[in-house]
Amino acid sequence: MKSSMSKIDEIGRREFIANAAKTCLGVGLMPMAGSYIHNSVNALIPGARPAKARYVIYLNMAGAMSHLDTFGPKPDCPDIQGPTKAIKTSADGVILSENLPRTAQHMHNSAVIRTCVSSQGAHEQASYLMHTSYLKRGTISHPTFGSWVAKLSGQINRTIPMNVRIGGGGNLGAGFLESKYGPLPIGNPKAGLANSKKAEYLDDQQFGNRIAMAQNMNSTFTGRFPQKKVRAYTDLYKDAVKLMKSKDLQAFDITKEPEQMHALYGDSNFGQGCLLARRLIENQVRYVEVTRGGWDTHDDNFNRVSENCADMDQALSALLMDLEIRGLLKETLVVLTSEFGRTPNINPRDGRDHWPFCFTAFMAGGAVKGGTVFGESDNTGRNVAQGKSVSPADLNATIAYALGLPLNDVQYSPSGRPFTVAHKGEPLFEVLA
Amino acid sequence: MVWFRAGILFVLAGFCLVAWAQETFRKFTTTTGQAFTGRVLSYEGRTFYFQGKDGKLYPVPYDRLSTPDKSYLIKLVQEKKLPKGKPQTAKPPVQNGKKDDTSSQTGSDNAEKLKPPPPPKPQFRPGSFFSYIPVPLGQDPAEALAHSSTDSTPQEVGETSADAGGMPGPDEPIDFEKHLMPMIEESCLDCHGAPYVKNGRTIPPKAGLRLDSHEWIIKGNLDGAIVSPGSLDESTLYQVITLDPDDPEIMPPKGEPWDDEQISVLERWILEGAKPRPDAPSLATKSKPVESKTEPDSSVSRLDVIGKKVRPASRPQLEAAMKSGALVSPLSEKHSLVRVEFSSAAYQTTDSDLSLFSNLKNNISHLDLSKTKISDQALGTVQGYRNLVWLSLRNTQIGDRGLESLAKMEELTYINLVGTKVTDKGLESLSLIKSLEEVYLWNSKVSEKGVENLRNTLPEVKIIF
Ligand code: HEC
Repeated sequence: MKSSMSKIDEIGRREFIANAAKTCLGVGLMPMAGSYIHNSVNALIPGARPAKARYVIYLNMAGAMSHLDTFGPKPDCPDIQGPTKAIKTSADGVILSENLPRTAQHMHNSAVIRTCVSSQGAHEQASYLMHTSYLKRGTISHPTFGSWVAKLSGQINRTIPMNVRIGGGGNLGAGFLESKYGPLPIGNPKAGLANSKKAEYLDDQQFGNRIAMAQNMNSTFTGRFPQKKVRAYTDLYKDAVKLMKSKDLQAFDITKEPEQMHALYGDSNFGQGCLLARRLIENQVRYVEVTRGGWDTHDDNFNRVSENCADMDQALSALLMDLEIRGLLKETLVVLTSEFGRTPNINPRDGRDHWPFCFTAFMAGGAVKGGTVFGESDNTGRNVAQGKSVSPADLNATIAYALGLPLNDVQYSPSGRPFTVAHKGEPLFEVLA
Repeated sequence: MVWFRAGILFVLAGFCLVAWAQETFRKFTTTTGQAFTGRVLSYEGRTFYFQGKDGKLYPVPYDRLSTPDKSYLIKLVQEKKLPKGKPQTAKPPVQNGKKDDTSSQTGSDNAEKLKPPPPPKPQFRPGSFFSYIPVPLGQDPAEALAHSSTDSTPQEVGETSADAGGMPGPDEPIDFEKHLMPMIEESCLDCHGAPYVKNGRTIPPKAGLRLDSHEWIIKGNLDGAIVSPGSLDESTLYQVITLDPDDPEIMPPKGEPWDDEQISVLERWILEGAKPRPDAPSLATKSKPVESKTEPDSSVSRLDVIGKKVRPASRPQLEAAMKSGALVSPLSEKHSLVRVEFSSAAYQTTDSDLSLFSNLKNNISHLDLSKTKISDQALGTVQGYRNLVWLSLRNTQIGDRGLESLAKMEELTYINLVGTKVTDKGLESLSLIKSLEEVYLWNSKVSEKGVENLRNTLPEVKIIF
């Protein structure tokens, strides 16, 4: 296909695409142009303490994972536990469900919070709260936690984006922060960037605005090539990606990994997503979220959870091991949780329904106090019995604290209302090293 | 009941006064900035009685008045120029007299009932937010709607809070009408009351938010709910009241912020489920366990110690160093140490880029050179970074020659040599670094034997190979 772009000279075209990519994707392609220099110290506000972690891999178990059949088993309460058994782990006295035999071997580097509480019991609202620390409200569009991390970690024209989202997981973006901090979405990890869709949170209007910005940057080009004739976003995106593929963004190309690496993570989408996440972390992407859906087990909970766990357990343990041998686990925080948990009661369809009142989060990495279990539910598994309730904001505050981000740095929405990285969450120091 | 309400309406319509005439007419201002002209006639409790230019009697709670007005009135009282008690009227308000005899309320509550007549009821476009009457859960809509047509008039609000006031006992469940509503009436309804008609235009409440009944508070505004039962964190209502007094969003925006006692009433109400009325007296409040919060400290102490020894880097110094393409970031607000990461343009970074750091060399505690094109020579420069604690040389061309330069490092605890050319010989240099805690050697050229030897000389060190 002969693109209309080819009418203009190659240099103009490259520049235009590079600029468009920078504005559309938050990705700088041409460091030679000098723009990659971090020229503003002001952008960086140090946190209260030195960062223990520099990177986050957030594993989002969308649809709400059954905590009872994974990280929070209650073997002493057979009527709520159902057929799932508990197993010992590499950390003394810590148990996990039998669905996680490989992850169990990493417990000495990991912590489990067993008193997560969300105020929302519907997927969308709860996921919003988990991702932003704020309640979904009518007027404000809050930035995702990853966007906050990108913003506060001091991204200034870097060559690759700081915030990547693999495998779906909603269409929340940078909210009222500059859109370049929003996640670069990658639908299928195996295809890397090439087959990525246009970010859903970029509507056409926004895209138009960005093209306009790109135009300003390259007025000679656009002077000869009026905007309305510019090809559709997706084509542009592909061109940009081709450029990236050449050299800068091999980070996104998991085909560069040896066969045994693919095998280690497993062939599932989630496994390959975790492999990509590790590759990105190796290339200093600050925040990677990998989503694994399929946890909404209102029916047939026990079979489905154990099937899901087969690839989740393999991918998670592979990820932890791979990060460790590369010396990256020390600086990476791996977090696994879901928007809420599932009912202790088993419903007549052998399923579990939504339960936001007490569920679990898993954390691993150098910033984490290994082998810790924080809190416990009561004997019916229904409510928090020991330890305080950990809200989504508290969980995000814990991550932000480990990253050394300033928890009280205020960013203003367009209407001048103040917001902070983890809302009013308090770090859970008990799980941090 | 009907008779009673009619009585109040009668009072509200105003009445003729026996003239007092001691004080002159004067302009008074309220805390919310409203002004009126009148003369003060007498006082009772915390209520002052004013005569307006129209000759009518206006009771005004003391607390509503601006500070200059308050001092003016205090002075009159101190000089005994003002009579006590309600002014004599031609037709004394029978109902109120009765009520006063039987209740122990202060005059200000009484005054709440003496509001001017209700403004005409506004008409709303069909579909307008305010044209929906909120129906509480579990109530028959027809019944609720019938109730509400008379319910939302101002007098009724005054009346429901007639037995209001006072703070709940520590173990008494919060009664919305009795404990919370009077405080909201007092400080919020000037701005968040029912919409009213002024000069033919409907004036909506501020932020489109009505707070004049339990249902409206639960309903919130178009932005969403402002109360999330059981959760203070998610309750905007609680948040806006407990904001820092300088915060532009604090409510009320003017006048005194709520005090701790008032806030605790709101807090308890929300935690108890934000109910229209308390469940049963026996279901007392559940107390929140107090958590001790200790920040983990020990493991950063090395950085704390070093950080205090070093002079902070200046802005120009940091900016000059940034020219290398590295991200140079202060380690924390308490430290003069910096972290240097060549993440953006690693593959173009060469030995010469490190020359830009000569002014910062004592400040660098973390150095990420992974994937850069630096050579063994560069480590000769790095050797001068006396306070280096963390060094990543992952996937570089570094070999044994380079490591020789590091043998004298004194603070280095972490070194990443994954994917480098380091061999067993290089490990001998490492074994001289006594501060080491973690060494990563995967995918380098070292042998099992070499690692074994290193483990023997540095038994405490975590070595991943
Ligand atoms: C002087 C007038 C005034 C008074 C008195 C007042 N408010 Fe407000 N209120 C406002 C205005 C103006 C806004 C809109 C602010 C904005 O848009 O950020 C507002 C907004 C709010 C909001 C919505 C905030 C949000 O984030 O959505 C709440 C809740 C609120 N007020 C509660 C109260 C309470 C409770 C009181 C009494 C303690 C009170 N207000 C007293 C003027 C007032």
